[in-house]
Amino acid sequence: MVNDLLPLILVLLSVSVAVVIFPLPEQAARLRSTVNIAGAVTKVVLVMLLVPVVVAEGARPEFSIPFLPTGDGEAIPLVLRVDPLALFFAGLSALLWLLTTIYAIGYLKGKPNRSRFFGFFSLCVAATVGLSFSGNLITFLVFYELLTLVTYPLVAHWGDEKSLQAAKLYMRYALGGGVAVLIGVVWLTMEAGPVDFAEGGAADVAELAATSPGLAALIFVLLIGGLGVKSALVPLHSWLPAAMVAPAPVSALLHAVAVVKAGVFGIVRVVDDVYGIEVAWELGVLTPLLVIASFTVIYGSYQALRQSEIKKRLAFSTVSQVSYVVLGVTMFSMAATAGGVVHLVHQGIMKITLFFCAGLFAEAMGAHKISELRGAGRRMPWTSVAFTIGAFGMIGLPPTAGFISKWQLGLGALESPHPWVLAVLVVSSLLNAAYFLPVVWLIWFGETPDPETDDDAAGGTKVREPAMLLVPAVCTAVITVGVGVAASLTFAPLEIARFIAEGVFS
Amino acid sequence: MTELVEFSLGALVLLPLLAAAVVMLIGHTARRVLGVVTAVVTAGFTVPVVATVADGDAPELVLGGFTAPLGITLRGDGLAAVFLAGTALIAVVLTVFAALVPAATGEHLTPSGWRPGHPGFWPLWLGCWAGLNGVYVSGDLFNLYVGLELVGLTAVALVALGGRKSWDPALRYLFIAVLGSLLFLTGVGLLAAVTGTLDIAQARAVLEEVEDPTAGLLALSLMTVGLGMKIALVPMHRWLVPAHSAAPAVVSPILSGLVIKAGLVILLRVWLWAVPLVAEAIWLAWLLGALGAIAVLVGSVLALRQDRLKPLVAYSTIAQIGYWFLAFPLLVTEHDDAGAAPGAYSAIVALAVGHMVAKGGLFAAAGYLKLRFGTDEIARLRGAGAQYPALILAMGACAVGLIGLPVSLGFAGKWQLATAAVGAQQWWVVVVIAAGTLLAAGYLLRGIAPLLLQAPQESDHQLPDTGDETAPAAAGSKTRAEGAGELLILLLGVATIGTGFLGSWIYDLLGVGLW
Amino acid sequence: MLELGFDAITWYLVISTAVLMFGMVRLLLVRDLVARLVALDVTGLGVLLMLVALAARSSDETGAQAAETGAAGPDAVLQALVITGLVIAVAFTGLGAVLIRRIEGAKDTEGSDSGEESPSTAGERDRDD
Repeated sequence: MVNDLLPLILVLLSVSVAVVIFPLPEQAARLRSTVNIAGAVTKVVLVMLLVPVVVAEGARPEFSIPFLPTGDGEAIPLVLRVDPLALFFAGLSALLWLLTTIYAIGYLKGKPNRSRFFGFFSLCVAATVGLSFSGNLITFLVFYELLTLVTYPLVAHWGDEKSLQAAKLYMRYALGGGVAVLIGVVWLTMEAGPVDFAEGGAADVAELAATSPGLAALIFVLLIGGLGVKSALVPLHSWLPAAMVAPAPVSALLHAVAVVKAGVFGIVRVVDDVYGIEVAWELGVLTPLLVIASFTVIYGSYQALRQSEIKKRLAFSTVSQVSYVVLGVTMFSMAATAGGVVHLVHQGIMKITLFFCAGLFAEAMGAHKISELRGAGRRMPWTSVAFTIGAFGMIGLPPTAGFISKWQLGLGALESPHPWVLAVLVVSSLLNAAYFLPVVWLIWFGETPDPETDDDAAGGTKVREPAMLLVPAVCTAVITVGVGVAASLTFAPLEIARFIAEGVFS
Repeated sequence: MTELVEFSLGALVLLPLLAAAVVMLIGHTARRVLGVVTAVVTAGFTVPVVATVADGDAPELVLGGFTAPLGITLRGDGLAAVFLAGTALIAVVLTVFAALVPAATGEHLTPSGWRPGHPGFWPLWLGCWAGLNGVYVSGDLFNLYVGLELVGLTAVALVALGGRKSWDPALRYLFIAVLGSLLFLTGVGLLAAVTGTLDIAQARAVLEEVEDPTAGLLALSLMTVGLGMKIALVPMHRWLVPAHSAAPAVVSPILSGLVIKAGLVILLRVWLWAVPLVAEAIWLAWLLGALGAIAVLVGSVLALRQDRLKPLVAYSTIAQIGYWFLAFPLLVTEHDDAGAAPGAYSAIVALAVGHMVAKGGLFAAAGYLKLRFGTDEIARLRGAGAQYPALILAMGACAVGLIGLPVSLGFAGKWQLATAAVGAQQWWVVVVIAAGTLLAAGYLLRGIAPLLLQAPQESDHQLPDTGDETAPAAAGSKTRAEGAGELLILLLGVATIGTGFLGSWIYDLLGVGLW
Repeated sequence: MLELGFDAITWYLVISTAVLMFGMVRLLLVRDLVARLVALDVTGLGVLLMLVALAARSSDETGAQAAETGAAGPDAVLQALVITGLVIAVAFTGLGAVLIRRIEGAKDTEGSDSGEESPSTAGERDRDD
């Protein structure tokens, strides 16, 4: 009984944190931080409590209220339901929210509009958690749009011309995608009735696909096209590098947990739980999506290579890495699905490490360009270590989380009808190495810049690394390695991902 | 219980009317107190009526013992209940707002010049509210007409409270309002001549017997055109923008949120209750649908081109009005497709009530900003958000409702409209909705985003340096009352989101007392 | 006698329609405010005239039908409408007159008002869009 309320409580928890924070005066930093961290910790604890119940006992806590009327008198409900995939994503966001909150408190110390920032920050997490627990397409849509709205003020946070332009671009893309998803959902609802997420796909949708495959495929394209905007599939990706003007914690959140992840999570849901992978395979919509994802993987890496700004390079790296998830779920093999799903979490942890570090470099050394990282290893050793681990993870070197993902995806590719994807993985890994290794090299072995030509970087002297910023970065770096080393433990991400994949193919 | 409900039905109309009369006799401060008390009590009377309707009953009150056609019958059905409830919410918030921030009620001329605040607001507004409630609960065309005229007359006068600049728009509004009501009156007269009664139920019964639909159709057309003028359907919309933007801060939300809804309710009563001519009137419904589509697109595009906040919001009203009419062709395809008609009807109501709340909040916020800064030019309001975070938050929440994003009644309405359209295979409706949604996001972002910018320099926008005596005081320190006023606007923003969960409930409610 | 009466009513209907049309056209064409107000009143007059004519006509035609349904007869109903319409028209005319007087008064006292652009002119400009 209590379990049934838990998903609602988890969503409302973040909302109430926001409600408390919004009216707080700017100076009340201590109170604000306390509320924030208390909320974040509570959330992590609650999600952890749910893990054994849902994964081991097979319970599906569910909360629903009637929401939209339909012609035949039965209302479409808003449903919050916890299944393993939902829990997986919610766990990721709860953990990373906690770390990002700590980071953000340190990052924004003494800067204006913090109450507004943290208020929307909490709302953003509420939307993400709601998104993960959504039990049907309507609920998903609601939180998906909500996420767009509450991230807008975060992207525009600095309030200068450039931020506003980026936020506007973001809004255009996101709302356009949102409308496409909306039309898809409306259409699907009219043709197949309200669609509940179900392991292996919804029966009504399977029926629709059997009777009118063309229509089902068209709706699939609408849905994926809309979701593809947030998941930054090429050619719908250009908002993401632009949104880099946002404060570092926001970029971290956008890339690792919230927006981009919401998009791919939606794609996973649509492929696995709405259409069902078998149905989608028979419709023949998976292969085109796989090709797009492969292209995105390569193209993103190539673009990343060309960037000279740290954050821009990371942004294009996200474009590439996130599509691994899409790659995994569209390859039509169980191992690949597990690989894609686990990358949802792994990519989040690794990428947030990198963004934390990028923020640290920028704050402590004023380094925004890659060339400015020269010799950072001696000046900011801890940050540099964390960055290196994150970068190695992205390349997929053992024993990091990234290796596990890529290994699993590689296995999946060999099992699947598309072994050529293995080549995509290899090429992309080489490109990853090509754009990350020089940075790592520069950090550790680069010549210390000449103090005469570079006033900011006062030689090879050590720079203080603010603890509030450093601790989260080190934490995620440790997790990156830990998840890789302990991949076969019960309740480790990989095991849960395998469990989910079995459900998908059952 | 039944007596209380019947009493409430009567009181909903008579109490504000009585208060409007009493308020004219008392002093300025006392007017504010009595106004607030009346608002709260009137809203209280809404509760039993809505509760009864929610239980599935449609209460009825026959005033003075006369029966139709000459007597006055008040009915509380689903449509009435939904609009009564929405109006009560907006009305209480705006009344308290007006009492807290008297400058929002306009300005009046004293021997020493123009002063903020206009005491004439109180009787006019209470009279307007009485008219609105009268429109909602009237069971006959005669009372609908009287209610509509009460609303129209007070609305014109309310616009004129805004000082010299508002008189021209008010007069323009007056011309179109009277013309519209004359056409409506002609239609009513024609209907009465054909059916011999003004009672809606009786008229319907007689009309169903009549073979030749010509007279009924003519009456329907006349009434529709007349009401179209009052609702400001494109191309009869031009009066709306100057009137709504020139009106005082608290009057604009009344006009945009409530007054045009009176016309809509009557239109629905006429189309769905009084004149059962759906099959014959299908061309008219299609015409309305086409005009609605044009309104959505043209209104949105024009809103995009505004440089000032209040006209922008006013053009947004024109676009939103379009959605209601967009649903009309779906309303009458009843015979072809069973699911469409109730869905379309419910969509219109959800969109209208959602617009009521959202636009009430947005217009109040825009008007308040204009009041504080002495201008509503978007360029000069840059960075206003820093001083009024609650206001910006409210505007954002209202924008959610107007764009039609979840969770809001705007979303519920668009959802129902879109599903009805898909059900009836009318794809163009879906296209218009999608385009309107994106355009709405565009113009609202254009209006609100600059407020989030950092203020350009040392707050030069705060000084109404024109020396113009109509410019209100500079945005100095806020009084506590004004701070509370901002929270009230925020309340409307929160309500925009909160009512989003009521879509299904409204749908059920509307089933009560359906034709 | 009956035929003659019928004709008279039709005659009334025609006249009232003509008056109505004349008023409406003039309302739309004239710029002068007072003239517009008068045109509006003329239109109103046309409508009320039409209602009276309709009342007379329908009491002949559907009086029997109305009696069946227990209604009090269309003429009473329509006459009530006419009276109410008259009252309302007077109220609106009064309000319009007050507004016009104020607008003209403001113009006189201000002379050439070169201040900020008034909302109505903003509206006019929008019309050109």
